[in-house]
Amino acid sequence: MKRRVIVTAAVVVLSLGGASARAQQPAPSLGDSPAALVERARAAYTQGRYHDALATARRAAEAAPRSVLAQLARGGMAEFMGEFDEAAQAYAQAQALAPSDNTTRYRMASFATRVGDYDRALRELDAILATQPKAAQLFFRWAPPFVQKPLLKRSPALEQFVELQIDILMEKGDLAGARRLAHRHAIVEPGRDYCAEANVKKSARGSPDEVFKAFRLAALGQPDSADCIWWYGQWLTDEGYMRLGRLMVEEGTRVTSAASNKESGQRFVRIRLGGARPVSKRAESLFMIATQRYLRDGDVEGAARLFDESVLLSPTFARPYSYKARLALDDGDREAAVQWLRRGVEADPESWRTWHNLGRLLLAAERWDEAGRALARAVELFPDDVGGRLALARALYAVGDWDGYRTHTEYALGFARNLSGKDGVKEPADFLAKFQRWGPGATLPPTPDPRVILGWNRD
Amino acid sequence: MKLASTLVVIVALAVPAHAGDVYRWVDGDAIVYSDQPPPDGVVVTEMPGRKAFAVVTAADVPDAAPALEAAPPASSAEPDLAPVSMAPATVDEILELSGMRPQLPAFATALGAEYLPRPGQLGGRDGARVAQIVARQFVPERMYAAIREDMRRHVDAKQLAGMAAWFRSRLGRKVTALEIAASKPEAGPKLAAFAAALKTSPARPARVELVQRLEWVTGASQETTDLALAVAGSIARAAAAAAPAERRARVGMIERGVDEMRGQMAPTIAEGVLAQMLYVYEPLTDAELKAYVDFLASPPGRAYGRVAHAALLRVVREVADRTAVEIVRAVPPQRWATAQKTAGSTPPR
Repeated sequence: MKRRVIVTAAVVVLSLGGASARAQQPAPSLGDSPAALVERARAAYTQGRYHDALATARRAAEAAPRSVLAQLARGGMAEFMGEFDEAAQAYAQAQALAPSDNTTRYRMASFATRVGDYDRALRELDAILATQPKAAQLFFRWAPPFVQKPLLKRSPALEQFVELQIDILMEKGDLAGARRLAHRHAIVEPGRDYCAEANVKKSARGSPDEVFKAFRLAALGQPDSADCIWWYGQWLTDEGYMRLGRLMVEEGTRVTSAASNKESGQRFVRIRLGGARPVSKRAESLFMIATQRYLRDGDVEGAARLFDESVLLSPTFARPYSYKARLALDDGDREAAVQWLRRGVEADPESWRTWHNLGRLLLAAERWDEAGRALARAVELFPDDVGGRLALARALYAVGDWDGYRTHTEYALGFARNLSGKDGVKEPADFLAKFQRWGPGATLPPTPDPRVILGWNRD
Repeated sequence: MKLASTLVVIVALAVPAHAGDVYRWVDGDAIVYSDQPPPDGVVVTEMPGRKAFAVVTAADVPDAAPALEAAPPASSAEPDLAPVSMAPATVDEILELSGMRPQLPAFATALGAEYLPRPGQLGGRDGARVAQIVARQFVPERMYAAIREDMRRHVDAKQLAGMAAWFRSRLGRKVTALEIAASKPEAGPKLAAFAAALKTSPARPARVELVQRLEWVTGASQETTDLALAVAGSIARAAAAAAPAERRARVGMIERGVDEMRGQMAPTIAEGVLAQMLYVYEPLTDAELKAYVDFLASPPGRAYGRVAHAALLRVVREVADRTAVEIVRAVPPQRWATAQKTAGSTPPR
């Protein structure tokens, strides 16, 4: 997701740094002047002091409520931190002050995408294009790909503009439109095997960002590459992009000719992406930002509030419940954590990951029977859940169900051995070998939770 | 004797105990007290300045600390498992015969030493305070009372009888005596030499197999790790609680950190446990060691291991947490850090 992150970061920096060509931008040496505050906010953002950045941007906007620069700074930071109401207010204020400012429009388009208002986002981008001379518009829209390629290469802003358009169309569900645009602007070229390139990068364990980018290009450039589209969707799912992840997995499932793959795809959507319980884009974005605030920044209070907001917006979206449980565990409140996960499986009884997490938590609490039931449900939903199977095996071992232990462990090991997760199951394999040789031992079997298949990790 | 094996390892990994003042041993049916060392061939436990605990010994153990150069024992001899007494067993007797009680003083000393500052790490007054707290908390008699109470609650007469059948046998006594001997400070250098020699002269595969099975039925590695983490976790929790609110780590994060330590420690401990076991039981024949492993794998052996482990771990956790909290209250972490800077290069424990 690096490209998306870069776009977001670039947008924030643009907003904070005053890339706008507006004449009102003063020199940054005026103490507590709005421009100086914006500059300080930018510095704080760059240094990873996001709370400071937002607070400073707020001060700038309060000090100069009619400054577009200050409002954009506030909007950018608020958006980055998941304070969407505040961001919407700041952008609206900026737009009211400068209705024809293209930076403001671009920010508004990006924000609208984040909260799922795709039509608004496209309108803003169209409006930006409409401000250009007719000849430039025509050239940009209709020039042949061999001209587009160097054009975008020379102008990163233009490339960013096109990429955002493509993302919006993809998220909106207009994959055909996104592909047309990608071809028109030579983002993808006919005849090139992007899927093979992506698989090479994946096998060579290239950087996650490179692999992601390669699969995205395959999804855009090769409509019949079912597997690559599918992998892209599963990748997005791990990252938290519920909407686009679902669209891609559904597309991969539609395109694939193998019946078993179709079944797998449908199951993935059902047990990993909420199935018939769609997640609003705003809830998804809040969830992703909350995750970042928790994992990256250690901002527990801010993250908890955003997770709550996400749950409020999409009560059947199970993933935030797992994080609420994790926050409770961090406070040492295991019972509260169990309750959050129970709420999660009530909200979405087919959320495999939530059952998996609930089972493992109960296992840690040595509540064997409850753990066994939750984990049995997890592996019923997702039979190839290696970590869930090993955990279930432990729960069964603890109550003396040796056959159950052996069966689930052998299944998990057999599955993991055929995939990249075999290193992660060495200890369970050693334990099983001793069990088979000497009978039950004094300790319980180990329960690693290895990352085995793309799309089934995280949370 | 899962627990005894663990005690051996923990004691050997930690600071050695000192020579004692009062000796107590078993001579036939009589318990002997003396301020003079017992006759040769009798194994005792001792605690400096404290009343020693009773110890079970086996007069027929020729040399409780096995010699490195000893030839591999024959494996064909029938182990002597004949019961010495048919009287009803008590928890006290089992804890005595299993070596749990005799080894507790040295064990408590070793664990307590984990809280003591290294030379130069603290000023004299602070160091004395810490030592007083450790001495007040790691009292073997109190630990023993708690373990005995747990055993009474969780073991029934039938299980006790099964345990007694082994622990009363000559072989059972011999094994206990070996474990006690190996837990003594003077066994440390011999064990180190033995472990080093294993690298060039590995043990016989049949013996390794037996020892691995012993580890499997006792779970000694995990038990040792649990106990070590009880100490490490207590320090981490107490230090975190003493930190200013704005810098205080959250409870769950500390526990997660302690869990991560488990993964890091486990391989080293497992390796140490296997070397220890090879050393401790070297004087036994394969048949004797197999008989021991068979007992530990039997229902009464498993019951003993399970209950004794749970009891010991519970007691150690409680004592460790109390000790750490009291130490951090008496000598806040920053004083250790300050003294550390002044003292120079001595690393914190």
